[in-house]
Amino acid sequence: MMWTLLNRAIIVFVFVFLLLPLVFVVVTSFGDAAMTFPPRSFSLEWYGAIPQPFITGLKVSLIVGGSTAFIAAVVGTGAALAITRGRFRGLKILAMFCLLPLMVPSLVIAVALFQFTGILWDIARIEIGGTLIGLILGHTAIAIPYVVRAVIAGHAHFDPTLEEAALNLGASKWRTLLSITLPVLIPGIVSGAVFAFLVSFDDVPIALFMGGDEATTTMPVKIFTSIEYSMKPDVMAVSALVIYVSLALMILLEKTLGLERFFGTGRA
Amino acid sequence: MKRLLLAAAGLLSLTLATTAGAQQVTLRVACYGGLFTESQQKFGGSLFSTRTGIKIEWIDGNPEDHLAKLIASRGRAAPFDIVYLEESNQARAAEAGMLMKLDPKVVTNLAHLYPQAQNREGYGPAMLFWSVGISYNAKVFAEQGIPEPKSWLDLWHPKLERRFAFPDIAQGTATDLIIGTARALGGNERNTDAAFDKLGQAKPLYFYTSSSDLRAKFRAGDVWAAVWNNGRSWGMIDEGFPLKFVYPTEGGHGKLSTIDVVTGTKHPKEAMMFINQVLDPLTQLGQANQIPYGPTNKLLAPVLAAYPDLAQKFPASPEALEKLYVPDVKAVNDNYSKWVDQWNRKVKK
Amino acid sequence: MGRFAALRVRWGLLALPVIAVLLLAFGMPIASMTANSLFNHAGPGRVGSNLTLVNYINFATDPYYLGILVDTFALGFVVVSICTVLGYPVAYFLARTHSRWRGVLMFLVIAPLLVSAVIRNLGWIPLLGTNGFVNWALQALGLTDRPIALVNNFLGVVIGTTHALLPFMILMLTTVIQRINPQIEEAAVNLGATPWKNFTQVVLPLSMPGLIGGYLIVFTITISSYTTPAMLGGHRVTVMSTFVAQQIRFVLNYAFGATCAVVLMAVAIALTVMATRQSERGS
Repeated sequence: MMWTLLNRAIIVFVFVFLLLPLVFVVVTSFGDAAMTFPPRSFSLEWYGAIPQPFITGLKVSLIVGGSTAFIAAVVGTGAALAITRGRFRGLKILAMFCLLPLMVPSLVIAVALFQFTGILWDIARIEIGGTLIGLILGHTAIAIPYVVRAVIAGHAHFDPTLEEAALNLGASKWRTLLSITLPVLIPGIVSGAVFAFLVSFDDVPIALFMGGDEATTTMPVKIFTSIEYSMKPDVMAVSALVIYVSLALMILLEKTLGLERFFGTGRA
Repeated sequence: MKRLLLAAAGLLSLTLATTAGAQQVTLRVACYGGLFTESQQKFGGSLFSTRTGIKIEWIDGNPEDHLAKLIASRGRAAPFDIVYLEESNQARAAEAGMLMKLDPKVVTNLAHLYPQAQNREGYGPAMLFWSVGISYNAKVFAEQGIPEPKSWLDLWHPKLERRFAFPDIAQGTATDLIIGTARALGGNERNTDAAFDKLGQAKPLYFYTSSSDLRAKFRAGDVWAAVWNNGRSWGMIDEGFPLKFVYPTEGGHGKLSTIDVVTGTKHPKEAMMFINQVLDPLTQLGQANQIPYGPTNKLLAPVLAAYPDLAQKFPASPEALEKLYVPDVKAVNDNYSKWVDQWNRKVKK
Repeated sequence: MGRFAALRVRWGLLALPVIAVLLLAFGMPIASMTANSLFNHAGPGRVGSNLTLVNYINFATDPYYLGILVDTFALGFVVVSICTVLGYPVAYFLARTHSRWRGVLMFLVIAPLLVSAVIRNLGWIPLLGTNGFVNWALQALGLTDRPIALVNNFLGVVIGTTHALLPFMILMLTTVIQRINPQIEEAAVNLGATPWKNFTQVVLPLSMPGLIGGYLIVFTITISSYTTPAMLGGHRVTVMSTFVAQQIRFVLNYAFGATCAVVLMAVAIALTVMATRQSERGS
């Protein structure tokens, strides 16, 4: 009884703890220009006045985050399968290598990448600095560990007899891989891809160094560089808007497709 | 490894679009971002593009990060053509040979700048003046019976314990705090030992790097006083917050924001033309009206004299500039790594 | 051969893309950057050409630097422990619930991460500040008579970092727990296991892979995170990442900055190897 009660208390506490700082963001987005908290007056004007650069930045962030999530999910799943199923020398080193980007402060990665773009230009005449490709590449590097770890975790308790049965019934190995192995891994891959997106969506240092003009400036960079000179509720409005839109999208997906497909099919 | 790199490189180059080398000249300008970049574009960039047909592309970031990019690309193609820096990182960039000297025949506005704004070695001038002083919540000070700050040392008042903010050493303003404290104690830029002992005894609520964060803490009532700059303080005063911005009797500090042409640019002449536009009275007035930092073009003095409400927010006249103490940038740069180390060990705790 | 021998796939080959991407976007850049640690510092922004170990010796012989390293890993352990204790019940609930709102609840767990860290951290001021909600509540309840410092110190960094990393722990654990067959637990309960016994002897061992994954992720990001320690620590708390940032961005001492990054990486690798060995032995 005590056990259940404690559990419930923790669950409620965690949700309150996670969501509380967002209250400030949402409330001030409806507030007055000076961002007093609690606000002296309420209005919707900031939602109508979200500056164009934030919207452009949001688009760039979505493109970069989406591409990062996709690439990291694909290559990361491959690596996870190699780590869990492979039997080759250097497997442990590979596992560690796939975790390494998390152990280096992202500012160091950002400066290193920027310097490396110069070297890359010197030896191969390829410019990735200030391009979307460079940005996506940098984010993919820091996102891969999440996918690899999530897929490895999701691969636990995998029952190999499923695959054997499929093979015995005459399915080709690729068919088996696609229709038996992959569906079981989907929840892990999806959470890995979600992580990858979030990591990209929140990063400042790499985006700051690899980005350049408007077309390669992400929303966090735009926010980071702009609030030092003017802090208005419009920043809060655009941040809150991201939450509303994703929440609406989430509910819509749940009602139409059923999110169980993404989060739940892994049940044994 | 090399083969792998080449293969990957080949793959990348396939997907990279090549930009057509049209006649159109585009200047890449590394600026501070946000409202500052917006007003530079509004009052300078768009005028310039209309007059010359040259396109301006803005790259946002902190001066430190612009400098880091310049260092990383030393000996290679410049990552941008023009860069907005602060005086101290300008000196470092110049020392490393990353900045070009300006041609006064192209940058004709150089002749009209205050002497304090000129760069002695011929690099980019100050495009605006700002100043460092003490900002405090006058309402709370009155309620608590804390006397108005007259000296840098007044921040050590016992009633202010855990109620004031210092800039972190990552902020240029921290060097002003160090020098200001040193001067209040009889030292100077090259004699700061007493200042560090004094700073080590201070009990600030925290050390800020972000002005937006400090602003929020002033608003929340967590912070009652801070060593801050004129522009951001006036931003809050104009919103009706009971803040006051004062210079201590030892003298407020005068600070310069600079603009330079980057070595290795393909368009040095056009870049200098752009700088000339930034130094133009019209652009400078627009800028000062948007964010209250002071223009450096003295042709504006009579105009500003006619608008005292605006002029009170920044050093706007030769006399006002004379009253400010301008720290020796060379001494700051020479001592900076030592100061950071002392700060880490003595002050930050 | 392994358990997955039936599918005749050379699994190792699937790692090639990741190796290529990581070498190009991380391995080679970091290798060339950290090579700076073996050279002398020749003034701001300049790395000298004398091969030397002086940076490492400076680091290893100065209690101040070693203290930063200790604080960093202490932070990692504290945060990962809190994340595990708080995250597990939530993950278990999310994995087992049949609520129609499960998807939305999962979303709410990650929602805070959709807001930029800089903005998110501003949200803590009205909550944890001197005049913030928590201090108001504590004083109203008579638990304390003067405001407690909840931010601008180590505690603030712990609160902020835990907040930012809990979602990762929860999602990681949920992925694994939902793959544990509920019938195993039902069987255990039917055989008379108490909830505690069921948890410690059945569920917990089976969710080890998630715990390891979550632990590795949370621990490693904590020790290398920057924005939250900087903002919620009030620049009073120094951890390796904030120190490295200071050396690289402001002091422009690339040699020593790189040295610290290498030390951080090396210790993190050693601890990770130890942790995984330990857990392998345990299972």
